[in-house]
Amino acid sequence: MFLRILLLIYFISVSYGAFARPVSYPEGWTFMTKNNEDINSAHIHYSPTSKYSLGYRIQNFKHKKYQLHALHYNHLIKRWNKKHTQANFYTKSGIGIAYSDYENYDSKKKIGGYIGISSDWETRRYYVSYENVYSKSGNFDDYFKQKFKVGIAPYIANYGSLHTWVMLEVDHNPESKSSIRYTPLLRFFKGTHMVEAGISNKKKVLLNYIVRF
Amino acid sequence: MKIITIVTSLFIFCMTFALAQEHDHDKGEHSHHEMNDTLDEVNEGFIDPKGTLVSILVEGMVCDFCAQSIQKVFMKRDEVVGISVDLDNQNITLALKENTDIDNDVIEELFLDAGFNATEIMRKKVNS
Repeated sequence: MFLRILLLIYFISVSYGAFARPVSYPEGWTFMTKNNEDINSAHIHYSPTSKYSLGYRIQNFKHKKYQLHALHYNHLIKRWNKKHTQANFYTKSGIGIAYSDYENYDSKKKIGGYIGISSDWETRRYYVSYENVYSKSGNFDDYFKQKFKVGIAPYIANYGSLHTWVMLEVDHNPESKSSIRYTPLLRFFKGTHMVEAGISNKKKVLLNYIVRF
Repeated sequence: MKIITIVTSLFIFCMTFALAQEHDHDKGEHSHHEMNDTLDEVNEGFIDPKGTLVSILVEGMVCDFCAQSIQKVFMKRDEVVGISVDLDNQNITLALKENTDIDNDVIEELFLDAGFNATEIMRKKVNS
């Protein structure tokens, strides 16, 4: 019963999903959760400088039935600041413990980790991003996937106002039978909070949330 | 299949930064940085009527999150009592206390630390 309550609290906490830049301002904290058809994840990180962040990330792989708890490191390799644009190139990586209490992997623990790159380009009107990841968790899992996202702001909001973006997220998972997934979504942000919500072509919900403090 | 995946990834990655360069090139604009003489309120804090306003043109400030990070960094400074953000003109105005100032080198360094570039800095007394 106690375990069920803990799991319930966990899934409620991650059901407000998330996505955003992987490094915050100097001495800034970020909490994000990300939820889609495959994964529920929660991630908290601290940025000592605007160049890197360190944090803890938990991912629950719903279909593969295991969890990966990892120390997560993001590094800003290069930023391009222009008058009307900004572009970034990051690496993301993590290492930790994968464990499963289900089926073939009952109560097994394995070392797991992942590494990937991400890049983004944005103006106040347009947004483009790309990221990929290679992940290996013992004999539980071993995969590569990538994500491409484009967005447009239907109106240009002033500082502090509600910002709205209409976006399309395309996930490519080469190992999956239907390897491409399209998710139209809306992104809203105001102040230090951002929410993304969408429904994929497989009629699955995407719900992400991020807050900075 | 893996080759297609890698090529696609590289293509998208290169396009991202090609777009960034092209967009700025197309703008072909020269900055017209002017002090805002009508500034009478700020996004955070206040304006000291005996203090100084420092107007800064910023590259890369394209979203609320960007400006928030700049706001957090500068509001920690003892000299700064208020800050105003103008995303349309990529401009930050700092309201400083009476008899205080921040060197341009320090301002530029703080922007770099926050992840942005300060390209022009101008000053005026509030009641000038």
